[in-house]
Amino acid sequence: MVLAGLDLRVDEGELYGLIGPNGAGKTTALRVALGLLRADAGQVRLLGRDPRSAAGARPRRVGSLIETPALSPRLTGREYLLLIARWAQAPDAEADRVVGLLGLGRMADRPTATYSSGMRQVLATAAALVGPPDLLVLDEPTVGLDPGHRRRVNDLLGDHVARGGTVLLSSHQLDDAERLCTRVGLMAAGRLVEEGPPTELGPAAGRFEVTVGDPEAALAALRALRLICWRDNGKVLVETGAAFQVGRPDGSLIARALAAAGVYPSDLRRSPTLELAYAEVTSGLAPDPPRPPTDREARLEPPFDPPVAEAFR
Amino acid sequence: MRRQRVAGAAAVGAPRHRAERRSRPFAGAVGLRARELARRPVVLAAFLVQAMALAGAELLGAVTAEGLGGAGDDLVLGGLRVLAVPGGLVFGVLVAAVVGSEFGWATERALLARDPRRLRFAGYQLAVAAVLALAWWAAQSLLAVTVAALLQAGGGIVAGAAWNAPAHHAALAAALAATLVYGLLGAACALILRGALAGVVALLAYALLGELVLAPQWAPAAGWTVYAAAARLAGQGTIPVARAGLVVTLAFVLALGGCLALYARRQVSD
Repeated sequence: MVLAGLDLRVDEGELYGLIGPNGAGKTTALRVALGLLRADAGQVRLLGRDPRSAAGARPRRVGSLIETPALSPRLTGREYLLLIARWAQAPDAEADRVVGLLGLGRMADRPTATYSSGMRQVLATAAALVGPPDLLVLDEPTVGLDPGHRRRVNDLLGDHVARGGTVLLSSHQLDDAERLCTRVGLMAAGRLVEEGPPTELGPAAGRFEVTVGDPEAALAALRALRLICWRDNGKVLVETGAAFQVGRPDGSLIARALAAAGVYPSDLRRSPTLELAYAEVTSGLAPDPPRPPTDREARLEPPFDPPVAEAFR
Repeated sequence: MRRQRVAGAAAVGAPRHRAERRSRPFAGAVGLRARELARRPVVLAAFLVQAMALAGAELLGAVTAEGLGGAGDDLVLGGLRVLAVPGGLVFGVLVAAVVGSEFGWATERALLARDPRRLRFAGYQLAVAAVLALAWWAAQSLLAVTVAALLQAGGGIVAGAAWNAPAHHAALAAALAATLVYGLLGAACALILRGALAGVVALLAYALLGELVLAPQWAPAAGWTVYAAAARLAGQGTIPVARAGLVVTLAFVLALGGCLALYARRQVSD
């Protein structure tokens, strides 16, 4: 059994990312959602209908890219897009529109057999955008793309959602997923292990990284505000997501506290969350993430100001 | 200029669907696929090989003065009979290869992900095969008739039948029937077995081993093969014409129904 107990709902206007190790069942989940595979049990609805039924056929409303690009080698890129447009019962002009969207240019008039793997991926992504669809289902859309095309594809996904569209994607590009997705689902062994906004997943949720010239001064300033913070590899880490934290200070509060103490950070950013969340899911083989000191450590060698340390006792 | 305007409109997210739309998008998709087939070396090679075999057979028939396909000096009729069988079988192999290639390129996945109706996809493949069949039949029969007429005129061969004799019409119709039935069998093999090589092997196993080797060994089956039926419709053999028509019709219906019924349950896991 590839999927077991998967309960997933993607709402209109969301950019939902499925992440997880190879073999977690992400692609299978997308195939089931699209009606390419039939689920042995349970219920699947795509745009409110059974994806495999004739009534559920929605060629113009759903664009997809599943696994490796599937292209006819003797057609040019533009002809292939035209084929998709006609198959999807969309206007022929859609082919030209997506050629422009992805900047395929004259490349679109060459046979797809001459394309590099990256260009094949770009063309397959362009094919998914023909319609234009309401829902995009994309399986690792940026794999193999050069940085320019990767950014362009990511921008297009953002634009799609901004215009009211919906995206369901699977990806191993955790930084992209963290930046783009409104919600992320972590999959492992066919199950949805964790789900939520990317900044709220995993052990690093709500954590900030501050790079300053004088870490001790920064620590003192932050502890004065009763923020939980500690040093790690020359950076100051500020925990804002712990359950015992009263309120959830954001980056601006940290910046203001530091500025008030005359400490000006050269860099202040949220810690990447998905990487640690992903590592947690994938059997704990990754190195342990930085963590706040335990009560015992706090008592033996207090990294906290007394008022904060008091809170642990 | 037109393209720039289209791209610009998309960038600001404007018109959701443009006014212009193809009235027959399915036919348009079939047309594009036909264009793609015309560029494929395997298709061109099959057309050329069949044309050369046909012209060569007619030439041999004229030179040896033994006629062709049991039609005596009527090279036109002989050529059309060769086009029916084994020409129909050659076409079936070609169709199995071209339909099966959709699975090798995974274009089946891309199209079914857009529209998961299996029967629509199978219908698309069969429509492409039908277009190819008509092109094959038209080109090869024109060649068969032209080469035969030239050989007869050049060699002073008196055929004894006019070019538009009923026997010629029957052979022409038999060639079309054989092309369509073997083409459908080839497409069915490729759709059910999901691959070009598997489709070709299955069709050859059925036609060469089943129809041409095993069936003649067993009298009750000998007159019930597509090969024998197509040959009879073209004017060769001794089985009743009604039975030949029944066999061809049954083969067509069974291949069509079988392939649609089996493909309707297709799970796209590759």
